[in-house]
Amino acid sequence: MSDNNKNTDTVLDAVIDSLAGEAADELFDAYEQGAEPEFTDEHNKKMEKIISHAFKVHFNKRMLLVAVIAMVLALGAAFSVTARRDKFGDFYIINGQRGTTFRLSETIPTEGESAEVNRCHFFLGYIPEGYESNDNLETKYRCYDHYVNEAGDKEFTVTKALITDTSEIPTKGEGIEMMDINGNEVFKSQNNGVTSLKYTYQNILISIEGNIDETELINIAENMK
Amino acid sequence: MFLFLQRLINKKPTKKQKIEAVYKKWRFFMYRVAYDVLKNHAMAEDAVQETILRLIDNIDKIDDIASRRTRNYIGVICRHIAYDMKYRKVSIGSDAEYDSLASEALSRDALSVVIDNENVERIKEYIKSLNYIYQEVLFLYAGEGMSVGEIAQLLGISTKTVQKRLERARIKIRQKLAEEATDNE
Repeated sequence: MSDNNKNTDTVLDAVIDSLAGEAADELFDAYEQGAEPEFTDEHNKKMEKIISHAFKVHFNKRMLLVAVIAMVLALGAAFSVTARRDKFGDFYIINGQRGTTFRLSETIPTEGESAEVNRCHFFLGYIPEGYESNDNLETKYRCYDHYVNEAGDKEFTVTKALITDTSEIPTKGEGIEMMDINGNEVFKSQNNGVTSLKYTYQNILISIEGNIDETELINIAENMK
Repeated sequence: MFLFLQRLINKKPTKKQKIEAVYKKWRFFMYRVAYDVLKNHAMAEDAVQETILRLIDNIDKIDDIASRRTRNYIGVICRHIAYDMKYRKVSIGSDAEYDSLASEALSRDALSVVIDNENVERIKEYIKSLNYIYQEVLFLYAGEGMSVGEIAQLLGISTKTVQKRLERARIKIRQKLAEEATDNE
């Protein structure tokens, strides 16, 4: 096809398009006038039904049943014990509103079993330079050693605690990480510049926490006996 | 308070009210369009019902219920449905009929077609005499300003078919004009 013909076709197409609306007007004008048909009652009822049901959300019964079952299963899964808990050593971590809590997974130890806590004894194979113990506490269920530096602005605490029903970690999901230290599954969390390392050993919760450098804290944990 | 009252007064009709108004305004028109194709009262009523169902899905495309544009839009849909019912989805005037047109170079002098008033009227007549399958895509595309995709969705055909039919509609008209120009020479 020559260029001239191509150009003519393009012009003609534009003309055809511009006249399409007018042609439609003329074509459909013919149907505007005329006798008014009498619709049957059946048609009128059907139209009434179509319009009254228009834009309503329709649920297929089977789909509704499937949706309900899916919802029940989803809710069941969401609230099931296993779904809400992550295993951590001998414990489960439960995500609560106030913070993450450690909950004893098995039986709560009796007083007799708490003897290990009472024999509160820490051996820290590594203490960062310049830090000295300035406070310690020993109760039936808990003992700790508190260390500070010379300036008094950096500190860390090593705690052993018999786990009662729940032991709460005062964080709300900041910097939470699971790490392995000497084969122990350690729960690391951070809050307001305080890093906390927690792990369990024979129903005892061991915590090492402070505002010192994280690597120093890990060093303490690695060398603790 | 005043704004609230004004908003209350100028409240847009709901989609349901809109479709109700469309039916009330154009029900006889739809019937006549459908009846012209089907020549059967019951089937024409069915076509009206089908048209309303189709409009329910496309109600957002209607702005001014009483406009000619809306009327033409409804007319095209109703006629499409009526033809569908008549031929039970067997396309009439098969697309293949025009395949030869697409490949055929229209040998003519470019200057032989002059767009004067007479030709304008003739083109409109040619458009009106097109097979409905070509006419409806042309009306919706050029007349209603709908996209190829929108037309395909509305008529339940593929976009490729819409494009083919548009092209063939134009070829058919161009060919008629060219034939006429040759005859007049």
